[in-house]
Amino acid sequence: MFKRPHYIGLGLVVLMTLIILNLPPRTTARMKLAISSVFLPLFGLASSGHQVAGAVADAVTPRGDLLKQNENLRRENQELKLQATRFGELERENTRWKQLWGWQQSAAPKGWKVKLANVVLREPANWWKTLQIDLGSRNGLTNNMPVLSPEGYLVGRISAVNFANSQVVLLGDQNCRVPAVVENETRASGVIGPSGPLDSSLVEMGYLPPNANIKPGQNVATSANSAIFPKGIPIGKVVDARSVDYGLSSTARVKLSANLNSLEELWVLLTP
Amino acid sequence: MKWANPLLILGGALLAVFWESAFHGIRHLLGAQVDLLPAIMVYASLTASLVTVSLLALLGGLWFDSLSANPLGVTVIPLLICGLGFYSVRELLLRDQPFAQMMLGLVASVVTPLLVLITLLTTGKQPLVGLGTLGNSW
Repeated sequence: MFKRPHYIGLGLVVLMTLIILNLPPRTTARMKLAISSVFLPLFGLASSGHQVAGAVADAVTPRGDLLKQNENLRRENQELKLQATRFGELERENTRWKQLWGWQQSAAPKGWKVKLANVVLREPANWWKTLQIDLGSRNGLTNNMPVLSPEGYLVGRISAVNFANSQVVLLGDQNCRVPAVVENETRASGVIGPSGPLDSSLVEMGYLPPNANIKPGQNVATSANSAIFPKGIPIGKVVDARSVDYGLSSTARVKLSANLNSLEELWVLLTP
Repeated sequence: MKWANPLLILGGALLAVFWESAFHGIRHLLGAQVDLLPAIMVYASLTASLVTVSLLALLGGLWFDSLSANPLGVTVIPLLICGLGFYSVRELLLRDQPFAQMMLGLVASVVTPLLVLITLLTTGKQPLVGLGTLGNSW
């Protein structure tokens, strides 16, 4: 079916893949960063595309001038509508920045510095929950730094750092487990684990004591038992709880407060 | 112009991987991202040489894994198996028929992620297997 050189070529591809799969994690991480740098020009193209789209949108605006010559009333109406839209957008942006600034001033964990990052890429495979941000080692980022949503809810942690960008592993991924506490009278401690198969905004909180008295609606936050996450960062609310392991422990489903599907900006907590 | 088709296929694969990472419209709509590499592999295995199929599996798999949390190289062999499977029987297929092409694309879109998942589970990784994963096969 195939000629001999074909078999040799295919064997080489398989051999190369097996070698890559068996390389030490640090080496493959470096190789990943090197290979992903192929996409850097595309980032540039994508942002240029956005700029061109913006310029085209701006160029469409003078159409109002033509209407002005013919129909003064319609022009006035149009200008007012345009102004209202623009001011509305500015107001929304202003409010958002005020919220971010206010959160940075008041709610950021004491002693921790924060950096605002933009989400640039998302995980292409459906069985991991990661994304890429535009901050890297040049911005002082290192592995395992906590990552928060603009509102201050826990989102995940940094899992790989490149010079100019980093990978964030999100809550609900198998590789992101967070010691957490249910904020009720028992202050029961557990571990936030992977998300359920149906709804990715629900995560399992396991290893809870059987007598934890967990009720729906109770808040869940990071506990003090973590070397990575500062305590008290809100994670979500309890949806329900059930007994597992023949009553030896219980597990709760937690609805995440941060909407992981619509993240555009993130706070990275820099280790103090 | 022998190099034009392979270059087009590899360029298409690069753009497809970037598109899957950078644009999330389909993910918001269906709840899962669509993987375009198997479809490109079907096209390559029906129209291009074995070298192109191998290069697409190697480069496409490495590009995909570099932007993903997958271990590097885990997508290469499933893509290669899929491509070789179609390449070896392509003379027997009605490859000019749109319906046949669609069915081949469907088979590839199911088989490739399944093989990747099996490889991941075999290597001790714990991927999230849920409805979102099933959505990958659509």
